[in-house]
Amino acid sequence: MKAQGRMEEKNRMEDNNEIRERSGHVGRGKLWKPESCFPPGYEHWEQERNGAVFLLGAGIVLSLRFFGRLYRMVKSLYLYVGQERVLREDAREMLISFRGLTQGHWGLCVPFFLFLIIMAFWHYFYYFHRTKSIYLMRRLPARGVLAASCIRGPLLGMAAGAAVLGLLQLLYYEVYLLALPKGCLP
Amino acid sequence: MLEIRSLKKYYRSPLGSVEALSGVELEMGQGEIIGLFGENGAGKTTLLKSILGLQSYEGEILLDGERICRKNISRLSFATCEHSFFPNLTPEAHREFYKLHFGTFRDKRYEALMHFFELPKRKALKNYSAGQQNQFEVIMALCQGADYILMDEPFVGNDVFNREDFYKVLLGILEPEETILLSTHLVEEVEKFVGRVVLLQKGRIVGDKTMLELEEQNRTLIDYVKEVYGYRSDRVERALEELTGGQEK
Repeated sequence: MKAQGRMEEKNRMEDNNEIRERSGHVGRGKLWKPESCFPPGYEHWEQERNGAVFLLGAGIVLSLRFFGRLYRMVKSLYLYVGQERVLREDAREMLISFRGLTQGHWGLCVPFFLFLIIMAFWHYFYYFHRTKSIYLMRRLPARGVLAASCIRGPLLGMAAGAAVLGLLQLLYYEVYLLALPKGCLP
Repeated sequence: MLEIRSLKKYYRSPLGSVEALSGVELEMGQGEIIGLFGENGAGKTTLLKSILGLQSYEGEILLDGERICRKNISRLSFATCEHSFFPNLTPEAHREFYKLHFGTFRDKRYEALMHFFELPKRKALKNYSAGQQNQFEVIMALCQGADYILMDEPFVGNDVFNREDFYKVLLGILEPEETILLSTHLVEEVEKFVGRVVLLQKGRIVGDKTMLELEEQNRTLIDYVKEVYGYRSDRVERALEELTGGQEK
């Protein structure tokens, strides 16, 4: 009897978890779930997240070219007299600004943002897949539920991506300042 | 009262615009069970979708004197043969979703109907049979807590016993203020279930009678439908005669 009771309790808990997880909506005070940012029952959100992380990662990896450019630029500011490294007199003129050094840099993250925009449209078309759940979504009395379910995930991804890129930009600027000879600091 | 005034709907096609509804006038009082009949392409689905605001139209559709908007849309529910549920979700997840968005959700009715039709609650709807999916679609439309329940061929794919059960259950559970507009081809089957019939042909209402009126005139629903649509009972015989008789001669 006790074992049966435990099984029933377990089933009930599984049910509740499933409802929370699959309905894509969590109530106030409940643990936030990433699924809540996607259309109800949308099963590809993990692949979508992985795709976005991959594209952002690829953009970041390619942005590491910054260090190569910086190294070459700093090297060009010096002359070698014998074994001694001497700062060139015209070093300030030869200096490439941080903006110049990172120009076109973050363009490599464009595929990431494009991917998320496409995903927002994909979420909308999800409501036409297998059934016409779009009819239910368009009948909901609350305003903006349909739009929010399509764009919330991609917007969150974009915000997270923008934050990561912003932090990287700051980090790169710090490195840029550290790498410049004292006489060349802006 | 749901009022439809001068409802017109055009579909654009490469060959020009096609008139799907032309000046439909209809009134539905609360508590009515109305059968909406018409051949394929008569405009039944277009009419239902227009009422729900799922497509643009010309004319006026009023619910108790007000245009249908977000404020009163929850007074309408919809069951369609195309299905409007989320296939990856379980019935329980749907219940949560409906309860979140429709404050009037009828929990008790949901439990009773799920139990009656023996539908598994923990199975994703994509794994249901076509008949079970239809049943679930109708159950959610009935449980939303709407005053006007619109159904578009909801029993396509269900066997006759199943449909029969549904009609009986429907008659048993409906409350006096609940109105049903049922679009179907199964004219003879719903004869005992509906209280009024509306006939559509080429986007126009060509017939609108209560079952009481038909009873008083000693006519069956199918006779009325055949009469309105100008059905020629000797059509098949003549065709067969032409086909076979011609060969014999």
